[in-house]
Amino acid sequence: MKKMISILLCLTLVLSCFSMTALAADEKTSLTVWVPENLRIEDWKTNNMTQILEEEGNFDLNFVTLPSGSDYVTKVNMALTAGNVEDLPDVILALNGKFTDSQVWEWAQAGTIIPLTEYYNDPDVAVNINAAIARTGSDYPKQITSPDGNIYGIATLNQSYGNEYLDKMWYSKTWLAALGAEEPQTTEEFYELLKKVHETDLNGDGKADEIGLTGTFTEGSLYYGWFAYLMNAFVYAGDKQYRTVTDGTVGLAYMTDEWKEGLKYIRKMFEEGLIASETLTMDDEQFKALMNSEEQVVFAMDYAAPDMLAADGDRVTEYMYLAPLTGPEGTQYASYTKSVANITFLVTANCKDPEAAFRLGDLMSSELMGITQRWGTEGEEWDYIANVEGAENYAASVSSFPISIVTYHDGLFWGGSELTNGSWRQTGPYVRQYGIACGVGIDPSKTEPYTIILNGAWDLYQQGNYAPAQTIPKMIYTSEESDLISEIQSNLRSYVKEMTAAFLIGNEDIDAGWDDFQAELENIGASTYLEIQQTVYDRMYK
Amino acid sequence: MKAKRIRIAWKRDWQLYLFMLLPVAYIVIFAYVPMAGLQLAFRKYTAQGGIWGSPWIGLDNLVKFVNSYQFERVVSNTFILSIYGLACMQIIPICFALIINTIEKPRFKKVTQTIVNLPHFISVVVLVGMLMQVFNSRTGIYGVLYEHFTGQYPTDLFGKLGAFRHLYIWSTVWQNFGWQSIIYIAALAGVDTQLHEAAQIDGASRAQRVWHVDLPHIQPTIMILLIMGIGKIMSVGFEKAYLMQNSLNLKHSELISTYVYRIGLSGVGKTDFSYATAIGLFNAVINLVLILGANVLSRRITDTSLW
Repeated sequence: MKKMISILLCLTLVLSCFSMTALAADEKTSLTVWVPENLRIEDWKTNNMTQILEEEGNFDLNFVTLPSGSDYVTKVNMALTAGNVEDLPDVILALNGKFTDSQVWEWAQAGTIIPLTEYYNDPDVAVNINAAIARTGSDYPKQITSPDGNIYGIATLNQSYGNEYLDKMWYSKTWLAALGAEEPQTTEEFYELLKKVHETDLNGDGKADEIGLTGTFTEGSLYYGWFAYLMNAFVYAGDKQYRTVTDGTVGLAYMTDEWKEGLKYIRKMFEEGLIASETLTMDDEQFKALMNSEEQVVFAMDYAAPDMLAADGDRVTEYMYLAPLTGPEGTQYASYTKSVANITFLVTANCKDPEAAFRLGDLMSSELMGITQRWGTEGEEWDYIANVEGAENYAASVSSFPISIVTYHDGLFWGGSELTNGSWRQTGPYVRQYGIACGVGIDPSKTEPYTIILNGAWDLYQQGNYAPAQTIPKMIYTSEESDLISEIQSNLRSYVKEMTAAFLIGNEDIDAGWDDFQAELENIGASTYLEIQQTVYDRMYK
Repeated sequence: MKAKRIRIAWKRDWQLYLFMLLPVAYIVIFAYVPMAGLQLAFRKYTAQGGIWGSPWIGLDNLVKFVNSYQFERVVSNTFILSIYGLACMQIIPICFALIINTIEKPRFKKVTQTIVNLPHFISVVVLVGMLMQVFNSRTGIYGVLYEHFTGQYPTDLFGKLGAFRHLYIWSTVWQNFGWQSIIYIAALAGVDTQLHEAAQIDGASRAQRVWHVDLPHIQPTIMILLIMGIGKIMSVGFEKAYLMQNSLNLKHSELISTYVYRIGLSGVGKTDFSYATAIGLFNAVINLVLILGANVLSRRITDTSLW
């Protein structure tokens, strides 16, 4: 009996020892995370994504939700610039694009966030990030490298052609058919076509109210893509500041002679009334009203999609996409904005275990987490195509891509008001390559005609590969650099806009005024501006 | 002795002092306390340092503004627009008040006044929206009527450089002349009827009575409002000009305030609070000089002044 008891005791001892070691191995890294409040997320702690991350990385995540929107950035900025380091959490997350590079750089200089460069450089730690670089084909940590050469965060990168080739030309297919014309391919054909539109009473209301092409040209407006579309047939018009890169040299498109030729072409269309003169003064609302006027009056316009048209009418499917035009010298480009990485994950100086914090961000950069962030729980809200029954019924949304995933409740992300608990709704990092968004399987039989048109437009622009060899990438300035250029950039922008409008409407003659225009650009500081752009470009990408 | 007098005054008028408490508190909190923030004009603002701790940079911001590209243009645009507006907004409400004053039917008088006062309550954003709707060359009343009579659509009014100032000022006049005239109407109500009767007996016509009886009576009011108007010349409204701005009218529509916004507050990189403060201070100093000058002139010429 005594023997039995001693054996039992021994056994308990051994067992308890065993469980002790099990507990020790199970000790989790505790991380406090600041997140912006999201009313659509049921519970951060029980969230599917939290569960996966906690299990994979052996974390214990504690969330602190702060008011969302601009309040969040203000609060984070206060905490990181003027607050107490001891009050900071381990990790701060944000929605994509909420933290600007200059802000991150200020926080880095304040010393309240720490550089993560050593972990980036350690292949055993940055496993998923290195995999993400491979699957996106983009060395995206370069885009978030600060002027001191360090990386102060983990980024979101969402590659999507829909955003890269945002602006596309759209024309009225009924009017084209009524004129018995073909889709124009060159600037000359486009001009001839608009001329016919202008001269014909296509809507049959007895008034000469047909507009060949229109859009907007005011500061901050959405519908100004028409200008770059036309200019791109002469010289690549660059980004919003008209910056271009050719063979590693940064330039300004409006300082070229091709730009002058392009201006003359567009001026001719204004002069003959093919482009409505109010294009230069309308605001977005007036443009939308014009597009939705009782009788159709507009033949062509430029935007991401014809989504300014009332969705319940016929007109929303009236407009078809048009490929970029070829200019007299054979130039043919489409405005292209490469998907860029933005920091959405910061590790603060108060973090006791920065490597663990980095591992959390690294885990979030995996493909699975990238898809989860957007579509939720695998198996419930989406599946890889290999796991889908009846896969043959689906087609990729951009036809040149293989099908990646099939989603079941996509509408939940943008619309609806139900609580979801499958993901963090894109709070913090996620990295998705082109293949995911372009390869989302759609059931053609259930797809709206409007969606089919949109997908066709993406397909056309993406397959055409109309982007120039190099475009201006993301630039991160030091404080001194941004002090130097901010006023110049703002002045250049408004002067170029003002002069372009004057050239187009005929208040200034293009040939006679060109040299003065160039001289004034110099006067404002165009060469200083270019010099700094080049310095930053070389620092980040050479 | 003095203390006693204060005590008596307090005892007699304490209700009045109590009434004053709220406005004084308002002015202290919203006008005097924020003046401490003016030091930002001479500092380089950083988030860490805030208003009291950022490094001093002296007059750099002011020098930068005076040397800035298009300084002359924004200053002259601001002056022209303000003076044009000041002239219209002085003369028209006075004329309107004089007309209203001569109307003898009280009902008609009240209805007219109500109608002209109403637009004052429209917000600037809505007003500019209305302006753009009405004068749209295709869908607006202006465009539709023009098309109806001539068979073609008019050229775009907002694209005409010369039209900006008129559109800006006359829409302001339309919106505010009724409201501005209230103070003159109140002043005119104080004209002694005996003066009018005496003038009538002497055979003065209606116009003569307006000129020799009404106008001299409200002259101090006019002068005071004019001086105060001059004191606001540099601070012509930001919202309206910004909302009406487009690439074609920028030559006339870029004012100091819109320029500050563009350069200081919406620029690339970060917002430059110090620069914006410096330009605000620059405006305030010029306004102060103008108001002092106008006051002295007015005292010499008409014996009316603010103090």
